[in-house]
Amino acid sequence: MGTPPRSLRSSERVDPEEFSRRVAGKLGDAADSVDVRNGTIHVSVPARAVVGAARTLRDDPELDCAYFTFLSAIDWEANGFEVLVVLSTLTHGNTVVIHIRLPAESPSMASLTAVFGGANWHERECAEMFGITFDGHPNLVKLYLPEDFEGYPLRRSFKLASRKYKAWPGAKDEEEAAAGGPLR
Amino acid sequence: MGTVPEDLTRVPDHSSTGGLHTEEMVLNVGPQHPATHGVLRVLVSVDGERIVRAEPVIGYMHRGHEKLVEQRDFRQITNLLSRMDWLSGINNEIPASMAVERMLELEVPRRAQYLRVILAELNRITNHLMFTGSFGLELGATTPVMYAFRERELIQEALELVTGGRMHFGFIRPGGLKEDVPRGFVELARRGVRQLVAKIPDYENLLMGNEIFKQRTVGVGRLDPALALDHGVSGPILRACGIPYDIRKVDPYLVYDEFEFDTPLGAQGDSFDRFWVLVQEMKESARIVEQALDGLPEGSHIGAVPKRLTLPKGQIYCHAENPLGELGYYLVSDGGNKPYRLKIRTPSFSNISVAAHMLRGAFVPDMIAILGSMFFVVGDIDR
Repeated sequence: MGTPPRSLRSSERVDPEEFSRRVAGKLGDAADSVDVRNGTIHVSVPARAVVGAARTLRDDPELDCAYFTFLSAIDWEANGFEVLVVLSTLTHGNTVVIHIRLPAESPSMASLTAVFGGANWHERECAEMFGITFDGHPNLVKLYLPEDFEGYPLRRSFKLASRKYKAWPGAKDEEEAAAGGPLR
Repeated sequence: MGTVPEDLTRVPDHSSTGGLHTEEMVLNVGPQHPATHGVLRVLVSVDGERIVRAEPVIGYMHRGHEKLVEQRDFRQITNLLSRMDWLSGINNEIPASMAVERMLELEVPRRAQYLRVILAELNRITNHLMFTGSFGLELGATTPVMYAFRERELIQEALELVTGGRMHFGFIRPGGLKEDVPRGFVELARRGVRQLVAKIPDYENLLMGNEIFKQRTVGVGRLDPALALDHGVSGPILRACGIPYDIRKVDPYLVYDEFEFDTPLGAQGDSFDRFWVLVQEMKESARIVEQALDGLPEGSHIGAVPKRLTLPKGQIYCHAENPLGELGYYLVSDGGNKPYRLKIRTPSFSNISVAAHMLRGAFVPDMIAILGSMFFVVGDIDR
């Protein structure tokens, strides 16, 4: 059995500011920036350093981010993609979001499956929804969508089918109506 | 008259399988199977009665919530999010409103916060009662589900009295609640949780005191804590491994830090412990509801909210302890009145991603005991 039972209370949480300094110190040059927003630690990491950074966050006992919360992405259209890897530490009570910027054309990064087994499904979902390739993933096939599905549904350029074939019949708010949208 | 053909007399070498020739067989379980609570398919390779490999196949109920919410404003998305885990509508709605409130720095009146806690805990109880009943049913005990639904109905009535709905409530708004609670709610809710607490020993005796139940669940489907962390397993399943991760305690939201309640923990991480934790959690929820009803402050049910909700540019991660585990919304705003991107991290998705490991090496009938104790909702896996 791994982690021994230990009752963590909010009062035992390491202060996020203090934890972010620890993260910055441990990651060193691997992190482009480390800051705290709304009590969550945000770290920017270049794509080439992501596996090493994830490993440091998981293995260093002062960080102990062993809990894989999720992996996903944001499509910034012409400005490329932003992959989010969210890890938590249950012993220090903090959440760390790793941000990785990828280019808009053929985005790819190293798979995290060697570090976190849980990344497997999240990367498959991210690949089919955004068209991001995860190099080294053992089985990068579609997770939700049928094998012959074309396109990447969560990209901003992918129009929702119901809107593509039949425009929304009415303006949803005053702003849209003022801009000349249909009233109903 | 010829001779006996040579290939008829040749004795194959079966030394490794005790003299019997065996083959692996692929068994397709689901997508329509009563033990999958929806449409989950599991591709199981069996060698005799033993599972060699199991691969959950998901996506039969993928509705694309993350895409749909990008077309709707912050008030409209509530009704969509309510439909992910259809057993915990209120719990799904709360963190989405919290994300909006934190980004706008909206103040939520204390009465609204208390009512949110009460509704969320009542919803947790109805969720857990469903699994309490169905787990027994899956193992062949038909009585517990009747008991569980008797208690569930009273609490369901309390939720219906407030929201008008039984499943998809659509009741939480950024800033507070849609309406205040009607007269009679406090008494009905109190009656519901008191009846539940009085009846829980019945469930415990009926199932956890039952020899057959124990044989089916003790030591079955043991989940290693390190593997659980590695896959982001949360909720009762994680706590059954002995890891005290409860967001209501670790990162308190609403007014959870004002109430006394415990975090039940298992030790073995097996099917029995998962069920035990589930049942104990209902008692803790009942404790919270009683305390919140006692201390329910007067005041407004919703704060001062602008007519038009436009969020500043930015990103926020907001998570909450849902009945099945950690529900997280990663909200990205580009300054408009709709989410630019809303990543939904659902508990069932991460929890069921570990099932392949848990099923490996188990017996075929144990698959039901394992999947049944993973307490998942397919709508919550697929979104």
